[in-house]
Amino acid sequence: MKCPISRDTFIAFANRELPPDVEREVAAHLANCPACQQEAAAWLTLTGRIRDYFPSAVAAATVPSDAWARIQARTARPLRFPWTDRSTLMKHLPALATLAIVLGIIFGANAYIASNSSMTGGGPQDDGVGVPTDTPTPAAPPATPTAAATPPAVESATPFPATVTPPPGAPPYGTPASGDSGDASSVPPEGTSTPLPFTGEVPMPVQTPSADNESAND
Amino acid sequence: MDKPRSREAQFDDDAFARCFHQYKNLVYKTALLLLDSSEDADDVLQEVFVQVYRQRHQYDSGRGAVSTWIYRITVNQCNSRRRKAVWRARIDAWLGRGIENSNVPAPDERLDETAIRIALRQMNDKLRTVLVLRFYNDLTYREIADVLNIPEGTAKSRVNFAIATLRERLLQGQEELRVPSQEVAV
Repeated sequence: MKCPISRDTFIAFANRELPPDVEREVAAHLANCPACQQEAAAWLTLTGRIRDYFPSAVAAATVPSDAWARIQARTARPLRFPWTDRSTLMKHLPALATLAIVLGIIFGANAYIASNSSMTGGGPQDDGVGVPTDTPTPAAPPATPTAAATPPAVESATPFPATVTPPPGAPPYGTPASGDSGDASSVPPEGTSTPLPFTGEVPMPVQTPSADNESAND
Repeated sequence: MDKPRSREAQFDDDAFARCFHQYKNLVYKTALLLLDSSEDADDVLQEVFVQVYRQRHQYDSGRGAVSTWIYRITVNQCNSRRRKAVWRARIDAWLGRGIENSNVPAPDERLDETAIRIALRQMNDKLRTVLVLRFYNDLTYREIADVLNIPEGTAKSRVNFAIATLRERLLQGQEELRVPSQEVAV
């Protein structure tokens, strides 16, 4: 017959930790089971020996007499590196965590914007990270002219005018050169501005520095 | 010239001094049982009370008694020191230095104490710690659970397992111990 008392029950019985009703049941079983009696006696002896051992093992040990003085000396002087102290770190942990999150958002947004600009306006002169050079980007608009492509003679800060006033004394725009036949009636009177006739060439847009920056950022 | 200390700081100092004198023996002897070295126990005593002083404003009485808090710091300090000792032993082994055999019993010790001491030294640190907390510091399972930051059921089963392991080791060591004990008796 297998006895119902487990190892943990024996240990709890030896330590007097069982509830009273369970303890009575165990005691009743032990009264009729010599094997369990031996087992219970072994556990009782062992726990008794452990309880006796620890106090006797350190009975002779005494705290060094200068311990308090050494501790006082250490607590009196400030920490050399207070930020390395765990309590200081824990105290400032929320602020440090918030700072880390804010910095993460700033750098993340910056990286996102930079990657977007390289996707849309990137050309061969870009670093090409993330954009394969041999596959054209369908969404990419044609490269806008840079400042070097603008005519240097234009000094006006205004955008390209729709109409141009010819300088005094000069033949008006659209007037045929000498030898060419032309309709004199189409020549506007001097001092009036006329729209440029379409000559088949698209005039180069004049860009101001601010406009240049805007196109570069697109 | 030193700055005069505020009344609050003075109260802190007085309370800290009382705390030290109340718990110094428990901390020192617990560390001695866990580390088997009076030098290490002395270091742990110092570290524990320096930590108690520096973190005194973080103590939360709602989370347990002062003693539980101090035991927790003590056990953590002992664990940290043991980890360092293991590392030192590894380095010694790599460098080919001999390691002192601490399992040789002193001739004037009684058989029972020697057997238990040897068996405890061979045990896992976790098991040894729960035995000390349970049988030397007389902590309840709830208190052991708080000190070790584990569930109460785990604390109870760990104590039982530690006792069972100790019994096995004692049974294994009985034959080995018989010879030195006879030599001592002669």
